Amino acid sequence: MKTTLGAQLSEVLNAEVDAKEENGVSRRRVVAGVAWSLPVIATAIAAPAAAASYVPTVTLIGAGSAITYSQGNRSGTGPTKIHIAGVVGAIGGSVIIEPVGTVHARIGIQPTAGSVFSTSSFSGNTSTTTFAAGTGTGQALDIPLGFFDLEDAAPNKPKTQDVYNYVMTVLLTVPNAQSVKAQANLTISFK
Amino acid sequence: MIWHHSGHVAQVCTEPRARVALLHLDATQPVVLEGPAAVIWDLIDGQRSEQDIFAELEATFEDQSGQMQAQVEGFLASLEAQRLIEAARGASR
Repeated sequence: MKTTLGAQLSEVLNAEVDAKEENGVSRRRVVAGVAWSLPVIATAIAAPAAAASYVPTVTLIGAGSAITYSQGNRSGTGPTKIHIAGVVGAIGGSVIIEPVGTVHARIGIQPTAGSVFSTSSFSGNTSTTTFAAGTGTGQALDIPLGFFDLEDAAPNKPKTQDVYNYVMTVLLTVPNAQSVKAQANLTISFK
Repeated sequence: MIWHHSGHVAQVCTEPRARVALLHLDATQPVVLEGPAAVIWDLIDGQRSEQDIFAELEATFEDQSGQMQAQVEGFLASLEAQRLIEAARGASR
């Protein structure tokens, strides 16, 4: 049964037919002249270039703010949160807190309920704390910061009025295996 | 065998109908039909049999390969496997 396809077939073909009919070529000849090709089901895949166009950035917010430490009568100054923008899926990184000059205490990141931080590890007076978090592509992420300190025992115990300085570095690992970082000063005061 | 579009498939198409995008409600990713595949999709109407569809394609396209019927059958099987089409009730294979 050879029927004219008419409206059932694609209007692409019809448009081609109409154009050719003006030149006196019959509808049947033109329609039948369309070359057959293997019909396939193509999967629509999101272009990776769109995701790759996001470049994550990391910023330490509130540098110099008054902060408290989780134990003892300690205070200081430092950032209050890590801000990450341009996130592409799951991200991770580390926070390194390194003393400036002589200190008799070391500072780690205080994990809280639901925290993205692992337990801080220490090498001398330098701490490293890893974190893993992620949001949707292109979105921003804020990670609140809390701190604790470990102090030397007597006779090196910190003295009243001592103030120690540290540099806090956030290293963010991004999908292209490069890293971006942010730095801020951190202090701890002993009353 | 007579086929009809699955009731769980949403479709959008270009105008003119050169491309058809389909999304099964249980799927996470749409698929796209172009050219002969889009034409076959239009011919699947719950009325035409496979032989009717093949006959209309044969009248429409020039097939140099001689593989048209096998390719159409394979394509219909793929559509069924992805639950984009269903056998019409009472239809026999």
